[in-house]
Amino acid sequence: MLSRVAESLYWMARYIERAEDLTRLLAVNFNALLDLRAGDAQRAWQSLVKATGDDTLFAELHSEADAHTVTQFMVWEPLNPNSITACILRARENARGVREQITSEMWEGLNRLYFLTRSVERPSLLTNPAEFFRLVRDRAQAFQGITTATMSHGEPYQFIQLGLYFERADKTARILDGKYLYLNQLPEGSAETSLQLIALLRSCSAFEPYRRASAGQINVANVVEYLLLNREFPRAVLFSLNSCLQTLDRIGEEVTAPPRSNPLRRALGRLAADLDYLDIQDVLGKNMDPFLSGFLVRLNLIGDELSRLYFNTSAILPDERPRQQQQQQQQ
Amino acid sequence: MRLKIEHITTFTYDQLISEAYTEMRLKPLDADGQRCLSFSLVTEPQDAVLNYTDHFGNAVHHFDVIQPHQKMVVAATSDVLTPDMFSTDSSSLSPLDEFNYLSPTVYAPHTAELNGFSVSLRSEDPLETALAIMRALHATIIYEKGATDVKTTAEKALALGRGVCQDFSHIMLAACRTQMLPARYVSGYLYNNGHTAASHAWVDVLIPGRGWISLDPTHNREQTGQYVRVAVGRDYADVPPTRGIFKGNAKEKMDVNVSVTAF
Repeated sequence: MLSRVAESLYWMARYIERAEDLTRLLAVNFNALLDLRAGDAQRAWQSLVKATGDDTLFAELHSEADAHTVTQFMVWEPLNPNSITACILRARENARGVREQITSEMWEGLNRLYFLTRSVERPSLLTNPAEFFRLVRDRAQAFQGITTATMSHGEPYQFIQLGLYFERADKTARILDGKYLYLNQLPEGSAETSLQLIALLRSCSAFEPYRRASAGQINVANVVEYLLLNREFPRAVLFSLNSCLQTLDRIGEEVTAPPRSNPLRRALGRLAADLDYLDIQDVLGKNMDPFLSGFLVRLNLIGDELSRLYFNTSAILPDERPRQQQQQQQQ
Repeated sequence: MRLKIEHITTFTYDQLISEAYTEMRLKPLDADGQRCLSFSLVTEPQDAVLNYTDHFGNAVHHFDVIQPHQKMVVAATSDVLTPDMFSTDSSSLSPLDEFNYLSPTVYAPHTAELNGFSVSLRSEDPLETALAIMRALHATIIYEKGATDVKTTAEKALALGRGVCQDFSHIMLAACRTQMLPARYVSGYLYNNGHTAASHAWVDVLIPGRGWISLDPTHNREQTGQYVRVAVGRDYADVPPTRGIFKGNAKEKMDVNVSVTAF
């Protein structure tokens, strides 16, 4: 397949996943932060912005983090390239370029999402955001379901899955990174800690699966371990990385070279192995922030490597006109 | 004669280039007494080679190399049986083809100089006119490699008084056409008793009532069994052995290696 097609499908999936993750993050925290005292609430909103990775840009635009500024920033801020609206728009643009590769149902599903964000009334969203967030989340999840159910699971599909799980590994790690700093300041075992842990789990749609797995015990170590290292929960970082590895193997199926010789496969496999053999006690407390920052840096580097390997367009400048080959004189 | 032809074209670039689309006219014609026994075209980087037949009946092979690359090699091998003397399958032309082969082209424009070169050679007998033009050309133009390039027109080559087979042929085309003799460009190979070879070019002239005759003004003779016909057209632009485009900001170097051997 063309690298251009693979790249568009990959980014389409990443943007949809990103929009969904951001929406869930916002929706959950809206409820969880309502009860906090003013100072705590601002810190909590700030931790949420940090979880998106765009905290520097936010600080330039807003002096104060509260429900309104953060919602506005994350939903439609034109200067924020990762706003939910921008993500959905870019997912749609990517899909449009490869319209012939995706099914009609996918295209319709994506448009339902797109027109939802276009038609939203901003003032009413700020006063009652829950319904909007629910719709975005539903339609984004529906799109992923439609993709799996209607698209042939060939190489193009694998690039979609690669984008989805790659984004998910990144976002779950970021959400954990953003919230952990705040969680770590709260007294262990307090009601507020529990509340924030539940919000963290809900941000990753992990609350119900977690409770089933841990018999109701909610403490920091268990929650962090669950979100990072669980092998069965589809939003856990390790699960996402393992899924990326599986899709990579399917993409390279026709290639006879051993998987180890693929530098991307090797880097990703090493990252997953590091997580797999991690002792969660080693990274709790003050070690968590450097650990997660290091992890995110490595993941980003792998993302660059992935682009280089599969979407290498360095020799193709977009507006370059084709040149004539030389011709041979007949003698 | 049974001849084996190997035509290897190598494109090298000093930077990575991509999206190279290439079209080749290298398969010997299966017409006018000549038989192409086998033909293969292999590219490196490897790609599926497709083909079609153009308006003039030439086989065109085309392929694309999308991924970034710095080198592309195209190897064409053919095995062909040539007749001792050229004899045409058809003796008349459709009005469109007659128009095509009488009209001026970019390489063979109808200028006063070109007309002046051939008007004095005109006689009652069209065959004699064509032969006279060939003889005059051979006597006037000096064969010299490097004096002209692939883009030189008949007008410039005549003014220069030098050229290679491509220029001889273009001058001959214009000279015949200005005397109302339909003429076409023939691209092909010449077996040179094992000496170094390159792709060759000569001219077909339509003699009313008799059909096409095939004349090589470079060597001042009619086509023999040593000639392999690959493509015909109005001028070089219709039948270049290779033609293509690519994307990338790179210096291109093209090497062509042709060998024609007898069985």
